[in-house]
Amino acid sequence: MPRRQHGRSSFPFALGAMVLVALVVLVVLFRTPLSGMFWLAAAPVVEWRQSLGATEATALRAQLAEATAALADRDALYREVADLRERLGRTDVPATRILAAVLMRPPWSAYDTLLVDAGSSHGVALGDLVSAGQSGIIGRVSEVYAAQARVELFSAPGVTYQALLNGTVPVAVEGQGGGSMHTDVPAGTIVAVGDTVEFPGLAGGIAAAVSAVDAKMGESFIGIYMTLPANPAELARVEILRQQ
Amino acid sequence: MSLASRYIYALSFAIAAVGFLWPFWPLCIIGILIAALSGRYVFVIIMALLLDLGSGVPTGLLHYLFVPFTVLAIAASLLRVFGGAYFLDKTPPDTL
Repeated sequence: MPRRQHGRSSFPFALGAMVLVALVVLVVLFRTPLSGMFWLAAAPVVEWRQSLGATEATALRAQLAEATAALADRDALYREVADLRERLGRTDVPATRILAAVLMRPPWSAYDTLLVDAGSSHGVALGDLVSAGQSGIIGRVSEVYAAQARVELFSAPGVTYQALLNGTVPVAVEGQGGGSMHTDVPAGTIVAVGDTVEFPGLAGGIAAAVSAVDAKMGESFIGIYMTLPANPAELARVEILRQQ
Repeated sequence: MSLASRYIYALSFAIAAVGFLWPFWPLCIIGILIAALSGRYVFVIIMALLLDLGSGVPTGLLHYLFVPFTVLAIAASLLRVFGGAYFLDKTPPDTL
């Protein structure tokens, strides 16, 4: 039969066991403040550990997660705005949307245009606005065929349209091709990269985002460069806002 | 403290710490088992309590354990105390 060999004395063993039990009870009862103290001490080590895996890919993943969260927030706000319009009796404002697949897009199509698979048989009409999704407006229907339509992007060279910078400053935006646009505003106008250019009215929508600001000392105007809300070269589907 | 003890303390703590920081919880369990089954009871329970403090309250079925690492450490320690006598023969016979 196996024989147990105790230590030099059983008293320290019992004392140690009691101390351990007391320690466990202490942790169970005061877990939250003790956890706080633990993390206060462990935070530098954990931060150091995080810095070991901080690569460009992880930073981009973090940015993607933030963008996804922001997109979800925007979608929620969009639904809320639509709901408010409906409650206030402005249901006529949002036009009927026709979903269309993009058959040709830049650089395969010329002059910053898209060819989409919806035409007059689907209800598409000349001049209808085209959205890249939700409130991002990217162009206007310039030609309508039976089952297809050509969309002229706002960035097409020579295309000009009136819009509002940040919803307040009226600007005349001119397309430059390649998805970019340009306008001039008086010096002193507050503008920054990321600001939006919108169409006036409740159903306006975002037409461009400021990508660069060219402010020179002593000049009367500030040059503003903008891009479409979506990259036309990557568009797979668009929504045609049917005018009613 | 013997050299073997030092190695066991360092190894079990390092494994558990790596498991906590990686994070890969099975390494924490391995660290606890090494320390507990080698008879370092005080050390293993303190280490398990620290791991429980760092890991927070578990979810799901483990929620009822509240301090699962500590429960594991106690169970492994008890296994060592009561079961070790049947597996670890401290008076090996000189002859067969």
